Amino acid sequence: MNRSTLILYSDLEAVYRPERVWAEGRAVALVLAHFLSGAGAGAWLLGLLLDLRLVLAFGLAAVILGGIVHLAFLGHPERAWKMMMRPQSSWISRGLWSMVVFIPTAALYLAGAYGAWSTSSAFSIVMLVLSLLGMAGIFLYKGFVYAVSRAVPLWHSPLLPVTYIAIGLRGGAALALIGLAFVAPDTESHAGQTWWLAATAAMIFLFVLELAMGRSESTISRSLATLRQGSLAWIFFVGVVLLGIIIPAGLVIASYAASIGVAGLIVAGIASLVGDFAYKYCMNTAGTYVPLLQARAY
Amino acid sequence: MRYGMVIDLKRCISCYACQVACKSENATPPAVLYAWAFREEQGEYPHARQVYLPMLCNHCDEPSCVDVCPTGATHKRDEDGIVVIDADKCVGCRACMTACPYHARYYLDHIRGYYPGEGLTPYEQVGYERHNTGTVEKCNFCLDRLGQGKEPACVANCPTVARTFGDLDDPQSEVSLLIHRDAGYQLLPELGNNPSVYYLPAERLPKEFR
Repeated sequence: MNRSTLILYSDLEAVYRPERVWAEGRAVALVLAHFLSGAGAGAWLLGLLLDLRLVLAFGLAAVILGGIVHLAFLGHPERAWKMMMRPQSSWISRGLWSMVVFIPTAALYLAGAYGAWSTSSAFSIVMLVLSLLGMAGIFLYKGFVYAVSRAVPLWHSPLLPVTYIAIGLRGGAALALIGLAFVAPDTESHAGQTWWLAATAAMIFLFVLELAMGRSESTISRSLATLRQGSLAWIFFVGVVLLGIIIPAGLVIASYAASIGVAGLIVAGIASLVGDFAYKYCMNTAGTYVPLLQARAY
Repeated sequence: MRYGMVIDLKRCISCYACQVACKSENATPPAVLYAWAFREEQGEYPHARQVYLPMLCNHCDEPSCVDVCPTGATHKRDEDGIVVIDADKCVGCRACMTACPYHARYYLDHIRGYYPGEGLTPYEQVGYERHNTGTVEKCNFCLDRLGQGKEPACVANCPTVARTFGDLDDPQSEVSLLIHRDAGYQLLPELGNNPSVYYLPAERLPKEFR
């Protein structure tokens, strides 16, 4: 009997059946795609706020890369255009529309920012507005793609879309730190660092709130137990807590007192991005279906 | 019309005839089960028991799989309420699988036979022509058989007549009468999918509750 059959038979008898389709095998591509597009949208926003062209370029590149990686997850990537057919009900459709709007308009605005034409021209302003609409859609859709799944209580939370927006902003701030390392490592403003700290605080607050809200629900408790002490514990504590929060937080806070240099900013940015990817991987993998048999006299 | 099924847990002996009949009818590859039985041990000695719950796609009236499908590949037929998948539209994003609380859907990554290293048997070669890799599959209440005026394979092959198939919209149909008379219930009704598969309790209810 091969592995997939053995896993299936084990799942068929599991009271708390783990969600596998968006967690295992090629699903890593899906996690990576969601991570990249979220960080890209965040970088686009922060690039505009901090007036950093390089960060805008990072943002656009991350969204494009996320779209390409997303294709690797699909069973039929050549049919991906068909995913635009149901924006009236499907958040995946809405997400694809957002990317389709964002990528060309952001590219055209960026071309202006690099001198192809004036960013204050009417054309550039229209491109900017459209790219911001696409960016907002990219921020929103990922959380809702998971949150609509009533079968997986860990995901079916009104907080999840907000958390994923915070993670997108955090990813953007991390890319901004990397961008700052190249263009202004010793800047006095610390705006990138402040955004990173704010987004990280929001992410932690939302996660703790989700823990508090879900701890009385048996399926969510089960999911959280796999994060805390199960097979995902080392990814969660090493990837999310140590790499994603503690190390970059230490560097970012230190940068307010003294310059941490190019290497410090890059390390903080990369560690934060690794933590965000690990968080999304953990959330996908910890998903557990609601049990089929509830308390009932059979 | 809304097709539905009633499964009487008093009659079910968990012989897996439904599962085998379904595999035979649909020629599903290994690790793909449109019909299956959930088994759980409950309680502790001396009050321990095993619970069997035959499962299949619940063909929900409010199917969450339809809402999340980005291509419209998964849709509910207006004429009979059966939820079907158009394999030519499916991109294999598997959103429907995460949305389905009844674990009724399978993603066919690649075709492989039941005899590793020996290639496909002639039966598999013919049967697998109906399957499309890179797409999601599930039970369709044996649409081909319904078109011929037959019942779904799992219903026709149940040796204890535990399964009854019919129109839930007809109050005089056998399924409607069974649900009404024997307190038929749906799985996970709180999720709001309004499934079209009902179960009759394994233990007879006291008269005052019937």
